Amino acid sequence: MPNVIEINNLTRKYGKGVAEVIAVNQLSLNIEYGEFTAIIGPSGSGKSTLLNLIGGLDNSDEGQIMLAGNNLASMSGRKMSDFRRDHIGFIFQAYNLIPVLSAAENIEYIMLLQGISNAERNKRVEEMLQLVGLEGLGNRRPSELSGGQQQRVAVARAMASEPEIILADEPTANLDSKTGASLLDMMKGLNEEKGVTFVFSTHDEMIMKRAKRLIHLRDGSIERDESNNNA
Amino acid sequence: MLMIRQAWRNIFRNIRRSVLTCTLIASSLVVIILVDSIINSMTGLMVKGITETIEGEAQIYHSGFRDQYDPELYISDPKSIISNLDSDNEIKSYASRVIVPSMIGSSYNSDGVVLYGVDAEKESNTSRLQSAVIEGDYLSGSDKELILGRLIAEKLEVGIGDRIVITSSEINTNQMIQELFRVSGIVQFGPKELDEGFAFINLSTAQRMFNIGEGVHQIAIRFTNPELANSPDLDIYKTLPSDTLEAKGWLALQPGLGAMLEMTGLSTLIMGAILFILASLGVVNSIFMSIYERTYELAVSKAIGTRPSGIASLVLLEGLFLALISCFFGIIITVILGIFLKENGLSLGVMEFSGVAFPDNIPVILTLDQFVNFPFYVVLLTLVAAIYPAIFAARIVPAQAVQKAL
Amino acid sequence: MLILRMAFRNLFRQYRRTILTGLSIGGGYIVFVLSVSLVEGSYGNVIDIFTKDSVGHIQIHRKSYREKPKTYLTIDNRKELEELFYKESQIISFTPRVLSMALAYGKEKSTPVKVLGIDPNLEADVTRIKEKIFTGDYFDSTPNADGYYKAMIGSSIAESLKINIGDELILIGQGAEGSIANDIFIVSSIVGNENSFDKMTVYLPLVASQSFLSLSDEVHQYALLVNKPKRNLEIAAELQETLSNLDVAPWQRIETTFYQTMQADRKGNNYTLILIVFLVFVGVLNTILMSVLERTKEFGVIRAIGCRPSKLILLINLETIFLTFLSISISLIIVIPMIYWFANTGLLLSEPIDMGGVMFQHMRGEFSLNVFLKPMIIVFITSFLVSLPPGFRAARMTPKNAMDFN
Repeated sequence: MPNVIEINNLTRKYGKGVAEVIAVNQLSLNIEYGEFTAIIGPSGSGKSTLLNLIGGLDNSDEGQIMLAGNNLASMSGRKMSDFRRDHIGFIFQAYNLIPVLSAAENIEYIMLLQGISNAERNKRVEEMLQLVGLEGLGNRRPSELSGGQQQRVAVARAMASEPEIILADEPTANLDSKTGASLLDMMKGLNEEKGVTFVFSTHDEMIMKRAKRLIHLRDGSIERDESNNNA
Repeated sequence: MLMIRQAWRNIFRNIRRSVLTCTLIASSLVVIILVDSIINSMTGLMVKGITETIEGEAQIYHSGFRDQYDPELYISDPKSIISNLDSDNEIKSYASRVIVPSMIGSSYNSDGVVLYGVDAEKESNTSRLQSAVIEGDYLSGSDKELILGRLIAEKLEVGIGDRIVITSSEINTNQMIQELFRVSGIVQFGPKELDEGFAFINLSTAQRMFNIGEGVHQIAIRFTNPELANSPDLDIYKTLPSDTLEAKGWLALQPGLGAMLEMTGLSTLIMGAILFILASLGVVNSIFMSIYERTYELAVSKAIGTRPSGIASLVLLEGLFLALISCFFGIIITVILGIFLKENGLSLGVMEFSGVAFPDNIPVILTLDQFVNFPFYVVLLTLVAAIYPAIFAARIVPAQAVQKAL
Repeated sequence: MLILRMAFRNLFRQYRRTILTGLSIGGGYIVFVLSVSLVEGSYGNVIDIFTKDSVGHIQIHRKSYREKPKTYLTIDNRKELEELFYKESQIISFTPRVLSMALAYGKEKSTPVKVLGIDPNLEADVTRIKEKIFTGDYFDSTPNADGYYKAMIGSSIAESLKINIGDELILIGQGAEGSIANDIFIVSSIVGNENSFDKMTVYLPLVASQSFLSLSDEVHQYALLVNKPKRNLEIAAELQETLSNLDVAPWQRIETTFYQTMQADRKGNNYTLILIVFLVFVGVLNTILMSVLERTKEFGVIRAIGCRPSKLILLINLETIFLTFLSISISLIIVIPMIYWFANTGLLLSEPIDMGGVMFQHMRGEFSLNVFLKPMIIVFITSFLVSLPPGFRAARMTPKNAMDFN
């Protein structure tokens, strides 16, 4: 399988002088299409920063990120937005659904940005709701859903645009273990069924057990990169 | 003390919001002070325009004279009044006048004017007649002199030294009289009404022409303290030698002007009210926003034992500080604008109200009491506006507030 | 449209803030509409009164007559001119006039008066003279058995000369060639009251005034009414082009002082309105900024999932526009009846105010689409502009910074 993510010598620093923190330090990494990868490490090891950089949410200081053959650094703000829209799905720890939109509308929103036709949108919204097991709850606002349900909507939203990569920053951290486990099983199913690449940041044992590849991060550098054959 | 420090620091937590809120309050202060100044200066100009041009601050006349300017209604024996005026300390100057509507003609044209017979010396201390002369000379007391308004002179096509015929009738016998004058001076007061409708000759000439002896139609008066002009307690209003005479201050003489002053006063009030409402909406809004942002924090401080009154006081204190900071900057801006406007005036264009022509640039004069009164009201009203959010903040229920979502 | 729905729902997330902001937008709009309506309405009312009372919309004189009104400066091609007036569809009515000054004698007194020779039929089509008859009958052009023409006199003349209907009135003036003009007339009616502009005017039938001044069939003035008074200036300019040897003046050039005063007053009013709009929108800017600031994190998420910056700006614009739309809709419910009342009833001032020689006593509103639309457009544009900076601020942040924002 070819690489969907290629990272070369990536560095990201915050602050200046004595307060300078090197969040990501000359990191290089390749991830292939269809991987189910977890980036793990203690807090402050640079997991979230790395994910933000991969997602184009933050700018790097040095190095290069190639996503599906595109160099992120060469993209303008508008092009970056469109690239995220079409190629990357995001899942956040705090779900981050748009509070004024219903579950269905949250899923629909991204397709609307893509300019997908009305009929196609409605069809896919139903599909997605079914895919994440929320049939019939499409009209509820985020505040009317449980945490697990909200995160399922978030997964559906991330999947709706049919991206190559889904980046999930501690997706289960706000959920109880049972809900988290079922969410993960669902995502894994999607990975196997649809071939979407998943990259998680986590320190959740449960994810580590299910991930096929574990990248251990310490002080912004890769400490260990292992395959998990039990997954 | 701690609460004061806390309130003060809270204002600087969200500088952008505080700046905008203060802009709103400060602009309202600046606007209301300037509007008040402009209106003061316009009404001042108007009152001065009327009292200082011709009319005087008060007048004594025969009852009924002002209704139709009927020449028959003259004061036949002004001596006792004049001796009263001479001995009255409150009176700065006075001028006796004979006033008769007459026909005025040159070799080219003729028109109707109000002919004034005036005492050259006394008149120069009372009205603007002498300083309004733009061509030729002021009256010197000699018999054939006549001063004309600029517009009527143009209409009659006469200049200095040209002949003028006054046609009128003798007051007691109604016999037609005609008398020849020579233009000795041309005056310009500004308002069209004055410049096209007035002619001036010497008092003694007029008294002789109309055959009224020492009689006069009107005594215009200026006071040492003009503020007193409309107080009914003045001696001159109370001690008139005869029932057929009347003495009135300018406000009673010009009811239209009084109405105008009332209306401008009212419009300042309305303007102030609008500004206040707009500014308070902004203040309430801004304080609410800062409370919402700090719901968690306020809930915690309530949970650890702050009384509702304590929280309300904190919010009110923040309102007070916002108002004080706004006033500080508002005053500075007003002073800067005031200095600029004092030199340059406010240009609105040519205006004429109640027969007073305003200059194109209205001078804006700021007074100390404006800088005391208006900021005081602004602080007070801001505090009033802060009461509602303060009560809201005091009622925050800790348990509910601590749960906060996106 | 999902983005419309989002914008709309966002308004109700903080309904208290929305209401407060809406109140200031709505309040600003109401003040704006009221002030535009009252200024336009009151001036429209005054203009309507004096144009239809005497001035007409347009006046035509012989060149240089208005600067130096001499009896011999007449319009003598009357027939030609009147044919043109009949043909020109923009002119609804016209009236010829002869103007002069004279000394009027009653039984024993005299006073200078304005003489106005009018065609009794045509004049009634242009001015309200017929409705202004106080006592007696509207006159006609036929002399009585003794060969004396009728005259209508202003109320002040009747009072000061102490004459009444049926009495003789002697006029002495100057004829066209400088000769003495001298005629006897019979008073047929008294016109207006002591506040009328024509309180010192003697109306004569046109033929009588012409023979009094030794004129042939000539006149000094034509006063016209036009079908579209608001297009007055253009119509006058068109007429001037046709009548290049005459002087065609719209009322704006006849009542210059009033016109200038009105323009200056409007200018002052515009300043006030600009200030109010400014203050309203400092407040609105404040709330929008706050609501954007509060939702920075949410905007970060929206940006992260691939929303273009321009869409985000649009969303914030839309929210403000919705709010403005709602506020204006509700304000309209309040302000339409208010304006309706002002337009139909209005407010009567206790004393008339003299504005550049025109009396002003009625506060009237104008009820027209423009009165509501113009302020609406300005408020919409301003609210759109005000929502731009917060929008740009939200769009500029990197999604990560936005999501980390607290």
